[in-house]
Amino acid sequence: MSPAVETLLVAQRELRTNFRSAKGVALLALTLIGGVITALVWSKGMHANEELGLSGTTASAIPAGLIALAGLAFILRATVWLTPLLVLIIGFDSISSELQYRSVRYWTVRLRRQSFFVGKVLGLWAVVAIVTLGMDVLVWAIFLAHGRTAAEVMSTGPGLWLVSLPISFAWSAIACLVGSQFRTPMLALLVTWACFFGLFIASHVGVDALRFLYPNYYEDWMLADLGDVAKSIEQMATPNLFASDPKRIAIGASGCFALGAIVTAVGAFGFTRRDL
Amino acid sequence: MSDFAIRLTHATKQFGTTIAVNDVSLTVPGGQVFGLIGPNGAGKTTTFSMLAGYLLPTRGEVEILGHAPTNADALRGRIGVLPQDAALPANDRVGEMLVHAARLQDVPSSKAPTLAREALAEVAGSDWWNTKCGALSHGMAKRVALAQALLGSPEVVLLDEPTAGLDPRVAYEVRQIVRSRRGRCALVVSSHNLQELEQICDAAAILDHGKVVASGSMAELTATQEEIRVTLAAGPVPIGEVREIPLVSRATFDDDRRELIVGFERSKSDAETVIGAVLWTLLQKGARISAVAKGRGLEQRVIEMTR
Repeated sequence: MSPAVETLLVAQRELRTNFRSAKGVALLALTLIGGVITALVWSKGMHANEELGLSGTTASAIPAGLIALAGLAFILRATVWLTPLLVLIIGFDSISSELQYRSVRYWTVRLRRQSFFVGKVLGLWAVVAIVTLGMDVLVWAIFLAHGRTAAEVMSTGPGLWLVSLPISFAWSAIACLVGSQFRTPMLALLVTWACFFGLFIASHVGVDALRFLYPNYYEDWMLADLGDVAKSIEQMATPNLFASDPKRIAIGASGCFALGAIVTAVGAFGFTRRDL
Repeated sequence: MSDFAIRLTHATKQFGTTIAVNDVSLTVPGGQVFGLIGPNGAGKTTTFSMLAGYLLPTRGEVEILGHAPTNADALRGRIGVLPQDAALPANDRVGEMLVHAARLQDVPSSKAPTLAREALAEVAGSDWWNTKCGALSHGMAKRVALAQALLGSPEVVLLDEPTAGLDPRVAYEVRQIVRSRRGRCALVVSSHNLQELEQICDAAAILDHGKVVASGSMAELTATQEEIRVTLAAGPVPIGEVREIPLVSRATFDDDRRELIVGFERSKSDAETVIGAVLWTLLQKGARISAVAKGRGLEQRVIEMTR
């Protein structure tokens, strides 16, 4: 059996387990909360001029469609920002609980340990991607319900979800790497959170080398600056929500995938060298 | 193709400064039921875990069918393991868990359910197919874990405390399952239940403080071809007459147990012939015989070796 098939079987099981357990119910709740928050933000979205720092005079002249587009961009970007939180909540015990109860022992006599680790990362990534898509679809639905056209929503929504994929992949890899070091899920949760927060702080206090380890750093490569979006709207122009240079998007996505791949490789290697 | 199923060569496992298993060397041929015996902390479970690939040896080598136990690809479907303290995945249904295990053994998805059902039927658990693993009692969970270990036709089966916590009837059934596999695969059984091991094992190793203190066939370990024990009720103990029997090399009497221990040379006679001669002498001298046994019993042997 090839490592790819092993990995796929582990990832499939991870998906099944997550969407059927108590955690699955929690995920559903999170998705709904995401939808409610979206609706609340939307209610303010018509006043996006304030969010974007536009002057009242200018804002009154801006077509509602443009303002809605800015609101959509803001909300969908929020789902990207939420990615590490989702990964943390869903993935902290992905491996540590299997280590705690030693159920991992039923699997590692049957498959390569590397495949187990990679399958866990991919499974977690798939779960997060599906939950993010669920939240995004709710946002799209709300915007459609408020009179925006399908073309407006589709020009932005799927693209922003795609941007979240490399980011969630890298976060999933980090969560699995850190979580796999602990046999106690609660400890795994705390240390993973500390690690995520540490990366956030390090990347925002100007530690250049550490910025590359912070998955959301790559978001800036793939998406347009919110200030530029505001400026476009002020100028009554339809804003481009993504980076204007496709190369820049490709570099951002590749960098983020590379970060995730490196972390996954390190985690898989470590997993083969440890006692279970 | 290796001529052994399992081989440990100077295997050592160290946790920090603690040496759990120290320079253990063992060979188990195919088709044999092999016992790992020893008191708590002797290193049984650590040795078992190295065999299963859960623990990596600090020094030395562990081979299963000529491969490192962590070489999952080479050993896929050829090794089955019943870990002692691993919980079944609570949210999985029994059938689903076994099918997943079968799939990981490279069984096609069309055949995996059939194989899983067969394994479950072997442990008399067919009714639990749709039961969640988390809802199983201890005994049921142990049998499901045994089913996953026996899934397919593994050439090596490792069982850690297979009957611990089972009621006598189920424990008997498990022993029957182990017996039924004798000759078809190499089985390593780690257990505290010495009576059970004596019944089902062809050979064993006794561990103490991480070292092998004795190993060999069960007959060698229990000296069934070297001594007999006769328990006498209150009355005469004609030990002098027994010593005069030509086949007898030594005879002693344990007052506390009221046990006459009679040694003989296996090259000159067999246990059955010596039993006949000794009993004849004892009966002639009016001794009252309560019980007769070949050898010294595994339990006594282990107690002697692990003091």
